[in-house]
Amino acid sequence: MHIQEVFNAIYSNHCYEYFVIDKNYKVIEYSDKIFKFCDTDTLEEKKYDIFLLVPELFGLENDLSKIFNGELKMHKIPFISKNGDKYVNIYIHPGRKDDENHYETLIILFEDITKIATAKQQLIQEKNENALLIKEISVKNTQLEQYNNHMQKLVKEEIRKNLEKQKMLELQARYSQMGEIIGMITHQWKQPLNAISMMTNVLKLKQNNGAINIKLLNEKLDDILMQVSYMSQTVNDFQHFFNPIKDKIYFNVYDSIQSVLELVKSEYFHKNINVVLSGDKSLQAVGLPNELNQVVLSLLKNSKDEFVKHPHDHMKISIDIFSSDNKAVITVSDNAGGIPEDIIDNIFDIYITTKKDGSGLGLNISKNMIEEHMNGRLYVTNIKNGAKFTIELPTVMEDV
Amino acid sequence: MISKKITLIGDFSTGKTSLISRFVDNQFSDKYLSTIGVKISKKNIKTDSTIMQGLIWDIEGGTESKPINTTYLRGMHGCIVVADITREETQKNISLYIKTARQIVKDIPIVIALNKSDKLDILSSQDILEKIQNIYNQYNVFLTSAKNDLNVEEAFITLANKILKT
Repeated sequence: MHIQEVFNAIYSNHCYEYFVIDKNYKVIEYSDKIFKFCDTDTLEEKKYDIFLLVPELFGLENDLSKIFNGELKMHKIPFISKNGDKYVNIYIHPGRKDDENHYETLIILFEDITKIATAKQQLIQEKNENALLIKEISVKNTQLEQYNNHMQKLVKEEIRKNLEKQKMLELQARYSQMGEIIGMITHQWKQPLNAISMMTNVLKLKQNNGAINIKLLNEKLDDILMQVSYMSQTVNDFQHFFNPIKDKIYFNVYDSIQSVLELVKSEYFHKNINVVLSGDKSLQAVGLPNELNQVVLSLLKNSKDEFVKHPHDHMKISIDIFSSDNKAVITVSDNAGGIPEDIIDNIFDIYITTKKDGSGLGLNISKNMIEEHMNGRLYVTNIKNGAKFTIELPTVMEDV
Repeated sequence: MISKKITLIGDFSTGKTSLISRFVDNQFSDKYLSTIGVKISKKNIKTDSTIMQGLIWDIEGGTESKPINTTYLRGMHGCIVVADITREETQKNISLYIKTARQIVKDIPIVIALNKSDKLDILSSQDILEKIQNIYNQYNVFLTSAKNDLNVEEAFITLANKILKT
């Protein structure tokens, strides 16, 4: 290959264009294709002023002066976007020297770096977009975290409110049962009070007639003491019934339920409801006996209410106590007609009731007491002519 | 006509190119296109006393790993520091850009643009503006939106007036 061909090859692929300027910053030479980097096609329009032709040099007079004086070897302005689609690096180099060895020209060299710049632009674009995306994700994560924290607070607050509500409902049910039992006590006290009243009248009459003697007096006083003792026992049972024992204990299931029946037997007897307790008299369970008693009382009351609505000649509530699979089992069955099939699956839900003026709290609270407080089970099935509630309680402390 | 070099600096994607595009060509595009290097635009700015030709340098935004190229700042006469009102880190970096600008040209007139104000509600924008204004009380701070053409011209004209007073 001839040397000229080599030069031609180099020149045809070169990517540099230039201006040469004098000390007045006027263009004195330039390469053929330099104007593709300018916003003009002629020098005349810009009056050969390099600052008009290359505005990127504006403000750099001091640096240009330093290059003329030899104080600065060169200056580079990298990655300049020109005419929208081209990129150049601009280099300012010293040019020819005069007789006094000072530079009299500068070469303003344009290096076409469009391809490199385009590739770089894509890289930076991706990098910046990724950085923005990461930042956005980070912000979203922070927001999500804040939202989660807020939600956790809300959940905690709702749980607290629910617990409070549950306590209120339990208290409400307790007061309701207290009212019920006070009614029963009133009922049970009527008979002994009448008896005491009658015996006192007899004694007073005998005294007025002068017919009283020591034997009669002792007999009547013994009778009165017996009646007072019975009344006192009733009050003790009532007090015991509502004594809030919070720690789970071993207790005799039969005795516990027997104490409930002692409170209600008079009323049920007068309503012709036969309440029968049978089964294992020695069976021990673990739990809160007073809460079990309240549940049994609630079940008895439900049966009684149904009997009041639909009375018949053989009204009967059977309470059976037995052991099964290491559980103490208490069944309360009646022949009061049973629970309608359309609500039996939801009968333990709050505010579900079969009664016209019922609150729908009793069975819900009963289930909560047995299952949440005592780790037991309470469920119901319909039987022939009635319903059977089954209570299962643990018999060893470890199961509680 | 007097010409002055104005630079726009700040973190990447704060809207420097959009502000210039709005000011010079009255155009706006939602598409984000990263600037590399620098692009110079010209605009005649009507100041209080005269008309000034602004040579406006749109400079590639800085990132955590790559600060801006200070070569572009040489010989500048005024500077707009741009931050994104929705990105706190770009606001924190304002001091860094002011320091950089003043290292190149001491006593350089500067205004601050809190851009993309259209992305935030008015109350939040005002809160941030007040906070930034309190920190940089010797500079004019503008709540700008290239999208809604809010305070763009005001920021450039304020800077031009400051330049001519120095």
